[in-house]
Amino acid sequence: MAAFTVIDHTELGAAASEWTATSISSSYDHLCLKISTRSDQAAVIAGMGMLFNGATTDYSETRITASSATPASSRKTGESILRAWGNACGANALADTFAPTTVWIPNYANTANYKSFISQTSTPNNSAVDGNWYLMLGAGLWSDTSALSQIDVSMISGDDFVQYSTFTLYGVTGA
Amino acid sequence: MAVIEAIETVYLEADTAYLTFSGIPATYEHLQIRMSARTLRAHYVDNILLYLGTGGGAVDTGSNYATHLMYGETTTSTTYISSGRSGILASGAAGNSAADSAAFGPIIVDILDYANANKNTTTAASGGTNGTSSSIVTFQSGLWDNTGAVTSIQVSGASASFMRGSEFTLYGLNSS
Repeated sequence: MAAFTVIDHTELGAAASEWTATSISSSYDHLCLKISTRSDQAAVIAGMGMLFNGATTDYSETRITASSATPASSRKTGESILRAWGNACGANALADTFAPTTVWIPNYANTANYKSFISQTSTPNNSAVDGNWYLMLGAGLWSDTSALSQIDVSMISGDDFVQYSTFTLYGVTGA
Repeated sequence: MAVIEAIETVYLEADTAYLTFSGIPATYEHLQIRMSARTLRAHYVDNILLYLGTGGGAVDTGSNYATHLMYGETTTSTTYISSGRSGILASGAAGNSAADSAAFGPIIVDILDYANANKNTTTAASGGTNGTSSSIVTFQSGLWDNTGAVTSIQVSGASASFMRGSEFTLYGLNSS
């Protein structure tokens, strides 16, 4: 059996406020989400939000980031939405540039464990100015044992993803 | 059809300045390069450079790239920033330090939507290597200011040639 299966692939044909994968089968071991996104938010760096199963409680995250010469780490707890895991390029970033993000969610269907993930995201830009680019490695937790069956990704600001943003969700199986 | 397919593997039988993946089809959604690399640089670590080409032509060596890299080196964390540069820089290859004679550094490079003509090509890479007295772990973003579908990728040692035994595999990731 193939180790990777495409669960969903969406390329936005027009601006949209969110991408949602619903009714995710529990038949895989892990999930991998690869995103290439740009937002119409008037910024260079535009933060994305993520919800599991539509829940709005019990999220926490830790991240290491850089947008200047000095990397930093920070932590968020008691969050209503995951907000420290991924960024899109904003409207003020170099035209036609989309931010790549990868999220790994292991054992997403295991009902004995909380749901955790790691992410890597970057906001490329043709600038060496502090704050005009961004790198982040994130680790997140949803303190809930429910099997994960839905993922929503949106802009924290409420702005839209622009056309050509892509979302690819893979199911990953073990032997 | 497998979701992940190996497009090409290059195993260096001799020291080599660079290698090129060419004729990359546009049929995949994403690309990924996984490498285990060591160069002749007389240091515990070396960087690599990625040059991209489109339309079946030569790779672009002009100043059309940007790199942003954060790294922890032994006990220090900092960044390297460069725009309007030639080639995307990533780090984590082992160098040819005499004290670390058998080390090769792993680097993984993601290139999402490499064939999407509406997007500049961007990369995300992570890598690292451990020397006897120093070590490094890196995360990096790269930009090629060009919306052409990527058809070739040249991988070069930034300071010196790759050493025999270095290995590079280009994978294609399907989306259906």
